[in-house]
Amino acid sequence: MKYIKIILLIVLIVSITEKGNAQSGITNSLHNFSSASWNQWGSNGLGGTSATSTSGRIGGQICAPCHAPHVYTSNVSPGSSVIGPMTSAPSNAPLWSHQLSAVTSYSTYSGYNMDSTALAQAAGGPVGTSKLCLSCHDGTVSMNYYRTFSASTSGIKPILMSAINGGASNLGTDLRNDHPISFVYDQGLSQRTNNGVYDPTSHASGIILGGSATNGTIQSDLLEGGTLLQCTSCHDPHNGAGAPHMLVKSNTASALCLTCHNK
Amino acid sequence: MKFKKSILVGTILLGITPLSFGQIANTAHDFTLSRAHWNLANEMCNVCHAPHNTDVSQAHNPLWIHTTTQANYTLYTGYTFSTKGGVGQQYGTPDGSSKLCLSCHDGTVAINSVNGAVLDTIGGKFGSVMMGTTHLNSTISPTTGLAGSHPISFVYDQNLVGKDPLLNNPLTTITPSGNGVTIAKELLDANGKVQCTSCHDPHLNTTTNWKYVRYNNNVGSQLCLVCHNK
Repeated sequence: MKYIKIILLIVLIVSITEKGNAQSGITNSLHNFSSASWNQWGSNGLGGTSATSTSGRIGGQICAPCHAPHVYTSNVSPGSSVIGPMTSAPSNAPLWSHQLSAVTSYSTYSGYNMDSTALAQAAGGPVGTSKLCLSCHDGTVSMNYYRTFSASTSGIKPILMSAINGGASNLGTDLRNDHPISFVYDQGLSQRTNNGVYDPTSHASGIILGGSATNGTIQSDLLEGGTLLQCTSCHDPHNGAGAPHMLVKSNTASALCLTCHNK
Repeated sequence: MKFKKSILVGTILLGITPLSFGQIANTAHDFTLSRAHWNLANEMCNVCHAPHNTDVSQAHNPLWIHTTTQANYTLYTGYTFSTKGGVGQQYGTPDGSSKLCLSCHDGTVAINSVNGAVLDTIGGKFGSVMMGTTHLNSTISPTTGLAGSHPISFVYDQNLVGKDPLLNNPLTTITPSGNGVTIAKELLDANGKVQCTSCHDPHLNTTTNWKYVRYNNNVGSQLCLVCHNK
């Protein structure tokens, strides 16, 4: 009986550290756009190089609504304040293909007890990769405006995030009711809060990436450029951890919250 | 020696392309006269390949005859690419087969330029045929095109996987081609590098493979996902 317990324990440990648990990966997430009704390059779409063409059939694309291997025109450098229709090639973006939001000012979290420096930064509005997320999730850009597909493409039927799953993932442009983003989370913030948030340079992130523990810190694993707290600090758009809400790690027992917040 | 060399080149060619034939006809790379009005020789292959007097200055040359580009490029620095070890000493300038592709596709060398000369054009009517003016959307501009493109000419090995665990192991991951071979064998060049040819096979039938993209036109994003562990 003792041996069976040991074996079961070993199996459990192996299964939870196994590379890619069964529910992880983009194909097992809501970001699997391959059969989304709005995706003209999905399995239900027309598949052609324009909305109404069927030549050069392109089907079942998962990555295409957000990424393109060759971005002919784009203005998506993280941190760029240029928004709207794509105009110039990027240098740092993750080969972004989705049309960016034209919203210039979001309402941001007003804070209850939030550090004033961080609050002021967040009040400047979303920057960097958060803008990429908001290009769908602020509910102002049609889901299928990616690559060269836009409002002027004939045959495209626009659809906003508000129409997806009853708008469950639609943040809108009023972010006052959302966790603040786009502020610097550094040692200084930890000190000013009297360790209310942990020192990001030393506190472990507990993140598992591609099946192995990173043994990294908040700073190395969760902050954009090692400094910014962003949407991607909590969410992995590719569902690498296979956690609910596409979180970067399971929030069972609030483990994700408690990675940063010293409560 | 020549005989052995051509066997070697032939083997290399077979090794880097899927074993399917008769595909390039009626694609953009079919340079016969009815399609490429300037190609007086009315051949399919002669714009890129020749049996003799080829350019041996480029490594792994597949009997190459097209004039090589001299352009300098602004490269993709990326978001995580630069921090995860892709940008290293081997990543500096496009090389290998990518340089051959760019010799038309960067828009700086005429499509009908072979070893520095211009292929026969019909009574000189067409002169130098430039990619940028005739096939605009296949041009990768030296100043912006590569900066906005998937990186190329970098080594994709276990060392890189060690730095970025969201890449699949190229030595063990089998590709979707059905040939039962690994990423390293089917998609990387002899130096273990990702090149244009990792994603594009310039001889494929473009009716089923738009822009020569491998694996049935990347259906289900299976080409992306063979390397990227997402």
